[in-house]
Amino acid sequence: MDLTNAPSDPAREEFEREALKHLDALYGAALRLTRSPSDAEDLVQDAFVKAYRFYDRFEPGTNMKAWLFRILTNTFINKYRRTTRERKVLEGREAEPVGDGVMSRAAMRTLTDPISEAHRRLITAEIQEALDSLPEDYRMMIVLADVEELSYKEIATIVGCPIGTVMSRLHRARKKMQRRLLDQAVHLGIVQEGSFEEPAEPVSLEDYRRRKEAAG
Amino acid sequence: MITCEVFRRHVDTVVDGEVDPNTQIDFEQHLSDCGPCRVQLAFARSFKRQVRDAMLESSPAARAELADRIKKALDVEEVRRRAAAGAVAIGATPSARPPLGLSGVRLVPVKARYAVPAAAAVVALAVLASHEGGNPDVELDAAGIDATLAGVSYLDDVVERHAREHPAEVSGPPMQVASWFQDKLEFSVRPIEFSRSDVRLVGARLSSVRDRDAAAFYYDVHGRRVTVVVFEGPTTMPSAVRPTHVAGRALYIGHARGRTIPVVQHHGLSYAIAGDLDSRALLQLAASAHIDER
Repeated sequence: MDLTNAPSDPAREEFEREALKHLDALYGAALRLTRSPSDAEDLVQDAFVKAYRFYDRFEPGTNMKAWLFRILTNTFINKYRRTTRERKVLEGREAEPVGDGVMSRAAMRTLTDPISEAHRRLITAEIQEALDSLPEDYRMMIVLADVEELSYKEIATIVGCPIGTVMSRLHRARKKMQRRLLDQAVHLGIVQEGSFEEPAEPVSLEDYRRRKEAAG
Repeated sequence: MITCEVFRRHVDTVVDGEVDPNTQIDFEQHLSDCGPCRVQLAFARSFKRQVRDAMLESSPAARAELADRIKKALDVEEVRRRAAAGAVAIGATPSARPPLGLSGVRLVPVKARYAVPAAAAVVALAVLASHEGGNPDVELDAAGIDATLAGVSYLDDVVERHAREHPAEVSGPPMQVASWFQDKLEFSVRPIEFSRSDVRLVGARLSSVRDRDAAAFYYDVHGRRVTVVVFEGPTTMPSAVRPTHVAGRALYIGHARGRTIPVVQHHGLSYAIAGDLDSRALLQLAASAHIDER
């Protein structure tokens, strides 16, 4: 730091020391959100400046990393707000029903414990692609819940929506990724075809009869 | 008794550790008797772990240049802040309102932390105090300090919802927007309507105020944004949020983060209005509000 231009300030030093610890984690999240290294760098820089601007609002002793993520995500949301087109796409997708019984138990077992390193790598690559293919709001849920392991409440505060919305978006995001993962696993021969399964037990006798007739 | 259907619907909450202890016991009971649900849970857990691993594996560390870039940006920010703090002192006349974030409320911590000359802060605060009862805008700012110190924090949330400009989740005619909220909130909500032709409802979304669910409605008034946040209660307004009459209309005036927030109460709901308009225009707008009962 150039001391002639910016005199040393204990608060500034403290901020740099505490906040920059999380630089890699924030950059990783930014990269997942923006899918572009240069956009991710811009986003992280904006978030740090904003965090510094509002550092007096940070409550010492609370989770600095969560606070920084909150700012990062909000900065991302605000920038993204300028384009509403993708939002409309998401609304369409969000309206799609997501079934409960998507995968057979055999398929689940296979994907739960990938047998070989090769399978594990394929699955890892597929998960990365599946995440990138999600709409932004869903991707954000996965990043915050699965990667950053924030609580529903923390995510709700960050994203500015009720906890129920966090739960349903997260559920849908995971289902979409799992569906894609399964398709790919079938395609690669890791899982046998016909792995889409009806719920294990019929919801009602009528459903059961209808299904039996259809199977004929 | 927990059925497989119920368990599977909530498997995410189990994996995320968000189940309350009582339900957890019920779920464990169910799991001990149900092989298929155990497979489901093992898969869901493993999937979460694999997603995390995949993300961490694919995540490169930030380039060293990024840390330098950020430090330079912080230098610029610091210079900007010092300049802004100085400008407040010089321009602290009744008509010159400090920019948002450097209003009277925020000056105190700024002064303490960044060694803005003490006199600057004192001048700004003194100006606000000496004009109480004079210029209404200045008076509102002085009350805003009270409100902030008294911890009227839910209005902070309203300002934040406005400032953050989260994307709308629904748009269309007011009736359509109202029906979108029907199964999403525990209370029935209708967009506020204004008896003025220059106010246009542009969209709405689910929101929250403190721990309460809320609805946020976005309006456009001659290209300026106005956000109305609707939530249940409070049954009694904090004393810092004062009742008043504007154009014969009873409403409340609150303040947060240097902004005036008119609050209209109707059938147990609060309609808090934040907007990029000056205090007077915002109060006039609030006075023209009505809620369609159909």
